[in-house]
Amino acid sequence: MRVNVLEVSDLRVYYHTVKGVVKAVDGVEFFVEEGSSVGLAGESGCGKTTFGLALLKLLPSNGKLESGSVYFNGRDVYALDEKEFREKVRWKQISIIFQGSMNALNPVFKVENQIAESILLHEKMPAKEAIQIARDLLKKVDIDPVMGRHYPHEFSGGMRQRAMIAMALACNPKLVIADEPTTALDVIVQKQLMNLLRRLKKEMNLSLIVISHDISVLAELCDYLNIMYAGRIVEWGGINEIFENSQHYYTHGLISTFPTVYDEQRKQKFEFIPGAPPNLLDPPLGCRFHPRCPAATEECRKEPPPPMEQISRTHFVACHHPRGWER
Amino acid sequence: MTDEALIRVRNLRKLFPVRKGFLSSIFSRESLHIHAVDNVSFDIKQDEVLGLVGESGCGKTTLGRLLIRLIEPTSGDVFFRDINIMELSRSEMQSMRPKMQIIFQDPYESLNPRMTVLDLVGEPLEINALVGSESEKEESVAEILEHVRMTPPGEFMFRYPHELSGGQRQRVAVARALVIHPDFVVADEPVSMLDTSTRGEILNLMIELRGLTRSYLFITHELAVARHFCDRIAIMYLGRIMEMARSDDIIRRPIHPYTKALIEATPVPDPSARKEKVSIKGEVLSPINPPRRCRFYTRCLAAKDICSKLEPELVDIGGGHMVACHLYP
Amino acid sequence: MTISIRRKKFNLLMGRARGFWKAYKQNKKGIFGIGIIVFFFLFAFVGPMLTLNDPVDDWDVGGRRVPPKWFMFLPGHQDLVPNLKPLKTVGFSDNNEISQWKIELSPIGSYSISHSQEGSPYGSGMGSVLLSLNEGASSSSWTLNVSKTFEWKYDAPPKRFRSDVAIKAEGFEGVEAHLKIVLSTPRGDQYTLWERTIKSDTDWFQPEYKVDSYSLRVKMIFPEGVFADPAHKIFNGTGMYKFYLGVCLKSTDQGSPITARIYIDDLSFETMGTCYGLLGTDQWGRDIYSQLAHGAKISLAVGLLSASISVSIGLLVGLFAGFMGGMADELSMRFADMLLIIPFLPLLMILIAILGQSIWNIIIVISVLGWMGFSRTVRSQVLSLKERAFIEAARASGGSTIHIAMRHILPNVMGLVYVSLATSVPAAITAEAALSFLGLGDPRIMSWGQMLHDIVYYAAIKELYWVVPPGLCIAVLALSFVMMGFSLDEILNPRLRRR
Repeated sequence: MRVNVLEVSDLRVYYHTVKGVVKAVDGVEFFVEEGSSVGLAGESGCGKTTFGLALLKLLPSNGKLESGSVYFNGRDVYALDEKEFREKVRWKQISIIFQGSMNALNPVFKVENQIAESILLHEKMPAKEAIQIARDLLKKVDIDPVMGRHYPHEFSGGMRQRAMIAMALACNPKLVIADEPTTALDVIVQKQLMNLLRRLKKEMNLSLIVISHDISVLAELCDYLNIMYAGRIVEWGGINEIFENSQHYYTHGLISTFPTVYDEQRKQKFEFIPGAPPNLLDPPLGCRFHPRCPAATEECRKEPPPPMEQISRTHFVACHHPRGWER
Repeated sequence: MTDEALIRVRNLRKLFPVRKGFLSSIFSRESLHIHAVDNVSFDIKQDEVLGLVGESGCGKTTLGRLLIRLIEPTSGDVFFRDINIMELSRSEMQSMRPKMQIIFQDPYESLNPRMTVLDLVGEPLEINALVGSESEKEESVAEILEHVRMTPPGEFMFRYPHELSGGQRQRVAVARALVIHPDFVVADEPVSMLDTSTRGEILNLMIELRGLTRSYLFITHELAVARHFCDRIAIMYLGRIMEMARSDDIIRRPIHPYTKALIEATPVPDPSARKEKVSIKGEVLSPINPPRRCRFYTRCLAAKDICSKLEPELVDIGGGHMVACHLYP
Repeated sequence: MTISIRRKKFNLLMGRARGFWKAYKQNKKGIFGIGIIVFFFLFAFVGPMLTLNDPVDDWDVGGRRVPPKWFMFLPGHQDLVPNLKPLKTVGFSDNNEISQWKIELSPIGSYSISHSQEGSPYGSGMGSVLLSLNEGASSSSWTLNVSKTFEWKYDAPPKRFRSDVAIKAEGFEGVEAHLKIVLSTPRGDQYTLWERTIKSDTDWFQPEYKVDSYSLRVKMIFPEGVFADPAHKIFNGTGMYKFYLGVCLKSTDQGSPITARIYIDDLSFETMGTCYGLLGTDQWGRDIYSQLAHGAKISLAVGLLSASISVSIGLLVGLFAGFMGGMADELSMRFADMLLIIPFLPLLMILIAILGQSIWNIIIVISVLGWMGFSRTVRSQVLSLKERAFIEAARASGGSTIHIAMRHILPNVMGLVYVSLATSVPAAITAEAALSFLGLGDPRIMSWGQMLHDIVYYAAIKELYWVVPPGLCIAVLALSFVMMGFSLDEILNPRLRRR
């Protein structure tokens, strides 16, 4: 059995706003096996990105960690103070590929210098050496190392995202969080990037957390999939189990609403999940999905959110009335 | 669907000048242009949905705006029925506007944040003097809101865009475009800002509301959506149409190497269908002063000599399937 | 139906206002700012009503350049003396007012005292006291003393004292009158402050100069002459002081019947202390509180008017430049640049010097020179709004340029307008203060800047009671508008809105 490189238990992150408390992440249990890639799926505004930021303690100033513990390689990293966390964990052990690569790269520095800088922040070495490492990293992500001397605006969208990946790998982290790594990229570039991520994961023995609203990206990249809804994980399982045998109606909705190009017949109707994700200032009572769920009963409306129940060794669901086996 | 063309586009070109630095503008006389739309011709039939698919920067959005003359073309004509709208005067164009509408990509952007739903949806009615009084306006708005499932309309009419969810906002945008019953609607990536899970609702609405309009130009970068939504699909690459056919045909029997690559790269929500293969190389070239050759030449894995010398024309290869490639047959 | 729409729209508006207020309430800066502004508005309206003193024209309401009364309670200021008016009223408008005086006659019974309807035309109006010789009075000289005794409780002398009387003589045939105003001290010293002999009928007259401790005539009573301070000399101890008007009549022509009558009006005596009112007095003994209260009105009016005018100009120019673009944009912005590069204050000074020193000119000049920055802000906002998709959407629906400008652009720059209004007010207030301070203000209007001007002009920069109120008011009022502006910006500007 493989060891868990990351274990998160009962993570709660609340944003304290003028209008009230937004419970962006509300009791999340999460783990990553070494060398595996775990997906986190859900619609926008369900707390995915907050979860990713919370792992790195990069929350905005009004975001508060209410509870929870994060064990990385068996060590309670949340117990470390900010300085230790910055020096020993962030970027060295866990790094992140941010959502908008244009915003994450500083437009006034050369790309290789930016990557070298993130190395120098964590390791003592001559600047020349760091730049050499940066060039090697660029090569690794299929960018001509000569391009390192250019500025971010001279890069195409795909190249910028690759540079972001190179930067995330700068300190040889064990775990990389990819927050919407391919959003806003064209399909061909997206495909190339996913191939790259898969290759890097194998070559460097990385563990990956992929956060995305795009279920197809997760299908391509992940071994396990967590489905998040309104700040909670509603279903977790091996990737095939989730796609072939989704138990939660939300998971099923996410998968079935994705149009595929290979369908033999043109569809006359598109599937959709009615309504919109709840406002996390005031989430619905009971199961948070019940206003949008086709199978909601009185129980779902009144009982507290259901706990995670085991379906199989690698498949859990939090639903009062799971969909059951179809085949 | 009738065969009569509602929109006929002929040799449409739009070049955007590139601003050069001060020094280079002194030392070089050569003028640089982005060839956003380069010599494009096609028809949109009555009651037809034409999909325009391409990667970002291929000129599809520019083409959509040119079609309803929100921007002026460099050359070329667009006929709406028999009227060449590029020759209309400003005021004549103003009176043509209600016949052609546009739905924008980003409902956060395309709705004035300081107007209520009633005013937003009622605005086209007011501008074109289609309603006589406030109460008439309210009735028309209520009716269309009913159509886009924002019920009861009274509850939504006095809300501001920021009080609506993304899906509701886009429904308001659809209502706004359709409330004056235009003949032709350009839908510029109407669902790309929405979560996949809520897109279907908007798309279904647009299908249902075909009674209120005649034809759509559906601009998207997602082939999978276009495949189901559109009657015909045109694949655009660097300002040119590469292939155009009925959507079933183009998916089942793609001819252009670019179309093939696009279909291959289109994501599938199925872990068992993982593929590494991408039959395309390199990156999209800059659309600034492209050389006279096949635009896809640098990325094509099957390119021949001729491809680097001659720009292929879009030709009908039978059954309305048109393709611009030297490799066919 | 229409009514219901109107009601809904009204509710909507109210809802927005309530929402705005709710957000505003959260903002401590904003609440502080608006609180102070409300206070100054109240002060500007109610403040002037609480005082009868005119800020410009009422001189010598107390001692000149004296600190406020409450300074008495500060250490080192115990010897301050307030104004003392032994007489409640002057003017003898009825019998009651006569009774506050002690009137002594000798020989007794030879004279009668009565109230006359006639009064001095220069003084407080109708009514005077009439002293008339009784028929058959037999003596050849008569003495009348109209006196008032009062207590001086203070160790220190007053700053100044003044006295006044108006007299009319009738039937002076064969009679000569000697009049004098005398102050006697508890030590028994008698100081004759004024005297005069009347030999024939006179119409109403007042002493050639008011009897005034500052006047040379009174000073000359003392050996020090010009350098004497009569107030100091006379009031050098506590006790009962007596002020009286002495009339001494002598018959010069024995035998003929004597009919002399003397009307006395507006007989007054007052001492001006070494402290006055809430905020003291200025160089001319004018009430600083009254100046401050009237100044608040002026500062608010100048600030609000100039800010509204300059913001309106800026809005129009900015909308025009941003929306029209091209040549119109270039021209208007270059013009704005031109105005911007000329140093502001010197330009203001020259313009005021040319146009003349009136408050209206000041308002006009400040607003005409204050719109450039805001027009640039509006222009850039309009330029970015013009690229927004909802403008394109309106154009696609067939909206005309005017429609787009009024319906889409203008409402979206209104947030800027409110913010800019709030932040332009302090600029206008300080500009007016600066102009007045430099002596280019309206001399007929006492603004805060004018007060500061006087302070420097009369070398009173060390007189804190005089310097602090106008200086502090300018600073606090300007600051409160700036704070309101910042908090409005935070609420109305979505980019600054906190999550």
